[in-house]
Amino acid sequence: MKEFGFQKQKDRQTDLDQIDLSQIASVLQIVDSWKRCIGCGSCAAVCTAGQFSSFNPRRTQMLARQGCYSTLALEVAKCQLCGKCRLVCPRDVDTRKLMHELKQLQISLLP
Amino acid sequence: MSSKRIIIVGAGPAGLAAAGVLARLGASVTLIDKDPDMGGHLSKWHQLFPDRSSAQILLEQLVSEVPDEVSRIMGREVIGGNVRTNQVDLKLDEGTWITGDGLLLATGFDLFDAHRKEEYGYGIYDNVYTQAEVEQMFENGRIENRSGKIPQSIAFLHCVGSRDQKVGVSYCSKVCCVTGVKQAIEMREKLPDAIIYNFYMDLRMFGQGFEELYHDAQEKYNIRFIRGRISEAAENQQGKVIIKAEDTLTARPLKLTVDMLILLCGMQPSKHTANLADTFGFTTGPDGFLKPLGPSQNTFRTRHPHVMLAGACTGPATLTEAIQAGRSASLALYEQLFNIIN
Ligand SMILES: Cc1cc2nc3c(=O)[nH]c(=O)nc-3n(C[C@H](O)[C@H](O)[C@H](O)COP(=O)(O)OP(=O)(O)OC[C@H]3O[C@@H](n4cnc5c(N)ncnc54)[C@H](O)[C@@H]3O)c2cc1C
Ligand code: SF4
Ligand code: SF4
Ligand code: SF4
Repeated sequence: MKEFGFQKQKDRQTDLDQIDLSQIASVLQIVDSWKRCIGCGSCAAVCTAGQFSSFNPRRTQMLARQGCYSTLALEVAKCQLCGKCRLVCPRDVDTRKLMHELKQLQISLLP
Repeated sequence: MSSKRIIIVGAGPAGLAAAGVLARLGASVTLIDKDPDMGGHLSKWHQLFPDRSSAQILLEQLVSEVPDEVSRIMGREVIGGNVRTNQVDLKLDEGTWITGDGLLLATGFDLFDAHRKEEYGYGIYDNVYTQAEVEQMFENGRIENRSGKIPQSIAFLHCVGSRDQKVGVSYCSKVCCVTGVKQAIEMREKLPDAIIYNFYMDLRMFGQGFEELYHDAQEKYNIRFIRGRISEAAENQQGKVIIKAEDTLTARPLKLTVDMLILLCGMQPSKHTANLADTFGFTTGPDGFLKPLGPSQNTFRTRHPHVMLAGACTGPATLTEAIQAGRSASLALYEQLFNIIN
């Protein structure tokens, strides 16, 4: 193969054919309520960490569910586990527990 | 023929439509309502979606179809009763009983009590309203806040008391999305310079002409739609309402100060539903509304052949649906009582 001296850009497309969701499946098993999220953003509206940083719990957990792991570890590390998000979720997702579980995952997911 | 007496509980759109049909067929009808006036919720609305027709004219039409022979017991609440073969006994709030051969329950819905979502400050802050109060403002022709000022910024919040497990309601109330869009357009017509927002999780514009109303709201009326649920509201020193949400489509938390926050409250089963279901041996659905025998057919039948259900007592419904249900159920009840089928 000839080296052209540049790297092929990785596609930004979420490739659901390629992504391995097995780790996420195990989190879904532990935090069953996560399956009910409808992406309303209430958690992100009140998030303590989100007021001062780019952290967004709705987006972070959505990325996780689609297997977009590249920034997941960095993102969930910002969560302070304060539990405010859980008070407002209309679907009763145990968001705090979810963040906790995603924090556990981070080591194995670091790129 | 008129020896058989049919009792209709609820003189809202469904009950009125049913009374009209049954009276025309020659049945002897008694209409009971806890309110002093007929019309149910229809009497509280100003213009109807999607065509902005007059609620009052529709109400007058429905009432005019109920002839004088129909006996009316107004200002009396049905609080219980029992069902026997070929007979129904109803208990009224002042302790008397009334007996009929057939029964149609058209007890409708109650509006969700906005006080229960304390985080939105209804009843605490001055400028938080329900959409039902806004209908009254339109009816009176004056849009002003509690201190008599004309609002320059208005936010509607969808799904208050619907789709919210925190208040134990998981169902969608169906008519509040289109009502919110209709009211936003009406606000724009009255207040050309105001900034008007609708905060939604999903917009459920299911009926004929509904989605088109949404197009119009965007294109012609400059309504700003923000996909995110307001998580909390606060009040500032000027009595304005500060709201917090996530603008989910840009993935950023959002803060906004408005002169008026309008809560689009959902429908819940009317006060005595559980009690009536219990005394009559009906089941209720997961939403707590009365559950008819079948979801596609028999949508107005119960396990008692001479007792029918119609309208929003079986779940969130539009006027179209409530009126149709009232008419269909009354025909079925008539056939049943007068042995036209069997
Ligand atoms: C804000 C808002 C706006 C709306 N706008 C529209 C619109 O523009 N177009 C549209 O198609 N639909 C609209 N709807 C829906 C519409 O109001 C309902 O479809 C309709 O009112 C249902 O009619 P109903 O007769 O089943 O119930 P209701 O209107 O609730 O009437 C029930 C009646 O039963 C009586 N009752 C209840 N319990 C008892 C009891 N135990 N004893 C005696 N009487 C009793 C009540 O007093 C009431 O009069 C709107 C709803 C809301 C919340
Ligand atoms: S508040 Fe609940 S339903 Fe809404 S985005 Fe967050 S987790 Fe999902
Ligand atoms: S628990 Fe984490 S995600 Fe939830 S509000 Fe607190 S910091 Fe934000
Ligand atoms: S109709 Fe719209 S506002 Fe009403 S509960 Fe359903 S989604 Fe929410």
